[in-house]
Amino acid sequence: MILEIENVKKTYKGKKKVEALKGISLSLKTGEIFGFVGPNGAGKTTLIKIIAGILRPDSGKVSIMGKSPFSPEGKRLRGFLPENPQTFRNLTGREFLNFCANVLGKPKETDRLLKMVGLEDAADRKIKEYSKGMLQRIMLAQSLIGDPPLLVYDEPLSGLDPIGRKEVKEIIKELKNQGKTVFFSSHIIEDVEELVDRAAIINEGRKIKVLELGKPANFTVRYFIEGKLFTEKVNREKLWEKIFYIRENGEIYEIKPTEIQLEELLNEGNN
Amino acid sequence: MKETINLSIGIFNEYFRDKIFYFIFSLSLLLLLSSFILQEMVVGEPGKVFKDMALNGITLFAVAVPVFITSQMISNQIQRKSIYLILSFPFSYSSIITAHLLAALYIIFISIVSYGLLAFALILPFEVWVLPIIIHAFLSLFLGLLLSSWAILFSSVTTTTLSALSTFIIYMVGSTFQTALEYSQQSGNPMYFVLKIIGYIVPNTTVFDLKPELIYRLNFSKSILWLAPIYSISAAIVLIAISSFILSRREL
Repeated sequence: MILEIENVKKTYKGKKKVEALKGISLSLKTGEIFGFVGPNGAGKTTLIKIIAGILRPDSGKVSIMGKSPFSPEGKRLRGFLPENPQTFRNLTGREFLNFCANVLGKPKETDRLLKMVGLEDAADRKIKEYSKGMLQRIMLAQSLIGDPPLLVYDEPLSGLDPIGRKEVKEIIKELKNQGKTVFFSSHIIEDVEELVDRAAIINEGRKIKVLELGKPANFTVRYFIEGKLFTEKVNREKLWEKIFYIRENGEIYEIKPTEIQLEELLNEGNN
Repeated sequence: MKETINLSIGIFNEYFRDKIFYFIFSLSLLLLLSSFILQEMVVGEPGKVFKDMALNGITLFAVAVPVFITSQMISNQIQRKSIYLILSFPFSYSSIITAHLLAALYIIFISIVSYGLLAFALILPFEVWVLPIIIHAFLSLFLGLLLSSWAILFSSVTTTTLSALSTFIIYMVGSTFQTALEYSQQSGNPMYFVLKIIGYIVPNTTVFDLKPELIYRLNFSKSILWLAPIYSISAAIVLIAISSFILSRREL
């Protein structure tokens, strides 16, 4: 496992106590794209800040390949993109990447990364002149400095226009092809369904479910027994058992995967 | 240390290009150029107005950069949430604070040196006045370090505006406190001991001010040239430690 989160709890101790995480546990496999879905205020950003080594949990354990996310070694194992990223506005894109690369001791990566995120032509423009999509892409580029195996992105697609979203999605898909593990949060369900291998649903600081989106969990089976048509929802684990039963007693009409509707699950969680 | 310096260079580039820096620089140039008019209006030693303005301009950088630029470094980043990027780098909080302080020092150093050279050129027709400018610039750099350390501390705990205001107040209190303390001692005021305790906390900025001695060629204790920097560096170390602790405890 590249990332392990065990029973992480966090309460903000301001004027009003807010229990942001109430014991979250997750683990990520190497090379997967993992979506972290939930409504606003569900605790997504809090957990991402903990993984990024910015915020300390009250209890529980987080480890990136066995290292603490707060240690310099752990921080070098992951790239981070904050929500609505803001950065040094008076630097050009190239200067900013050079700065990040120098700071991380990887000074020769700038040109490759500018090319990868398609910002070669805008590299010498000041960041304050960038559009939101360009800003998101330059920040994605900085997250890749040092070639970290784990990439942690907080709402990488929020606030972007359709073209910007498409560009960022393409970059995330390319990262998966390169064998990177991407952990990203979103409240845009369509994006999660399009990009991820697995997704965790979170609400009010609690994990509701982890879903494997590539592999449907349920199937709708329609079959005849003694001339009568039956329709039944069958869990993946019990599917073969059901098929053998129908073959012995009747005839299979059709088997269709039941599509997982993240939105429904989210609504279930809200209720 | 190399990584902290790299971090400070990026922060320096960001703030050195800020509009507010150019405003401060223009203001100090205006101050220097106004000497031409004042020179015509006052009676006295030729070039004295230029000397006054030269040293005051240098002090202006040592005070205005911490008040208007350093004070916004951390708070502004927290407000804009751009601090997350820096906090996600593999550095300790003290390295992050030190990098910001170094960036402020670079800005003060470059401003003081460029302004000092200009002032030297303007005074040159009257007198070759190099050493006093160097001494004042040297002490002002450490005044800038001291005030920037306070500015960073305020910037770590409060908003940009409050931080700028607090830094300015600290400077004002530091400039007048010793006089108040002396008066209080001479008059036997019962508040003297309370003031004395406060005096250990607020910075004594008067130790960096040798303007009258330099302009009027008065004698001054040479030990101030090493005591003042030691005082400034020691205070900066303590303030960096406090700021780092506060930043590490904040739930950002």
